[in-house]
Amino acid sequence: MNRKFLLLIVIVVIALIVGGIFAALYFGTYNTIVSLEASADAQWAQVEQELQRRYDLIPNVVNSAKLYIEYEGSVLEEITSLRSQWAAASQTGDVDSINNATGELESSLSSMIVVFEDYPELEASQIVEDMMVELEGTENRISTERMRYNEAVRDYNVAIKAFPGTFWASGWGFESKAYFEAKVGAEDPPQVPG
Amino acid sequence: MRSIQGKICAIIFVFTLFPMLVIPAQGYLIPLEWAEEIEYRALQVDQETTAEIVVVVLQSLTGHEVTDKDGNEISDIVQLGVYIFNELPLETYDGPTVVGIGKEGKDNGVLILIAIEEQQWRIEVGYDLEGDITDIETNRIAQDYLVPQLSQGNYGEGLYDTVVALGQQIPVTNQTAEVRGTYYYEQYTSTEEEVPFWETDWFLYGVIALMILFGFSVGVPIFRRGGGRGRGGRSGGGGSTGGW
Repeated sequence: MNRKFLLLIVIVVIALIVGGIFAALYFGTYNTIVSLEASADAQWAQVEQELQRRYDLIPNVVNSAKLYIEYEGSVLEEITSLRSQWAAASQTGDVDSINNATGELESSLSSMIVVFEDYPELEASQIVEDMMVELEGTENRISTERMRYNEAVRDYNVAIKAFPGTFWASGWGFESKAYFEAKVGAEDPPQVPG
Repeated sequence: MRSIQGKICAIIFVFTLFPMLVIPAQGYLIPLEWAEEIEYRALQVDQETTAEIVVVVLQSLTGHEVTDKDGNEISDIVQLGVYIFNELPLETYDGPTVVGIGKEGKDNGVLILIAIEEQQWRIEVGYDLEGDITDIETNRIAQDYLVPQLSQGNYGEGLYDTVVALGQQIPVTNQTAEVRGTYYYEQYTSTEEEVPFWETDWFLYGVIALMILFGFSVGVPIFRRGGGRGRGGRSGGGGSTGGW
């Protein structure tokens, strides 16, 4: 009788320990994934803020360039229309379409910088120099925040695919997030002419 | 103000315990007087505004061995600036290293980075100072104070003038915070002299191991290396870049 009771206690204690470890692992993993997702989302907000900064800056750049460039209007028109496309993509909130629109905008901004370099009087202008500095600073901010977003996404994606998250993540409704890749031509942010 | 003893201790400490890439002012790449002027001025700015203006002088953008998370050396000055600002542990004069320029939570740091061989400069501004020092202002300050002196080869003077000009942009505050204490760093070139064996790391580790073996308690500073002061300010690519 006494032995049976002892055995029962031992079993209960073992069950409690195993259950406790399981619960700690379960909830700990859940909390880890939640916080990684939150930091990836926060970092995405940073990226969007910098993309918005560029969006706001483009009309100023285009308008100040228009004062000097008469024959290269097509470049400026293209930038303006790509800017609208980016705005439309941004409304959807879909990382992939924002990614595409951003890449196109970036390569056309790069080609604008090349055009600028052909106009010495443009480079001499203080307004245009300031604009270029602003644009360069914005591009650098975008690439910095983009890199941090990708790192946050990598940590999150690893957490939901690695043991033990992989067993539960899909049940909890976590899906892997898309990276925000730099497109060809966007790796080098534009430099200040001269 | 730091005492002469403190300074000597710092130098000895740094030479023996921190054979890292970037070390506090020794004045190899710029005259020592200018390194001291920069330190003094940046300390004043720190005391008055709690903001930290840090100057890093590199001989070249290659061979500095500052690597990203994948182990590749960073050769782009903008990325290198962001990395030094946010990720690289930098020593402070009294020992502990700190990651991130500026005060934690305030993000009020400024980094002036120059690479002599490539003739490139970069001013990186912490998040919270982006309003006080806009990208355009960093470029104008660099064009007015830094570039003319650098192109003459007067690195020390140009950097000092730039520290002064940037410092004037930052509003004075009543708040107090622990000062950083060290603001000037340059690439450490170890080829200049052979280090005698009693100053090498391995000798030191041997001594420490012996002391531990014999049950001596080891001086606290030795263990500060890994500890560090923790996290400083953050930046996100704000500022401007150029050449001379």
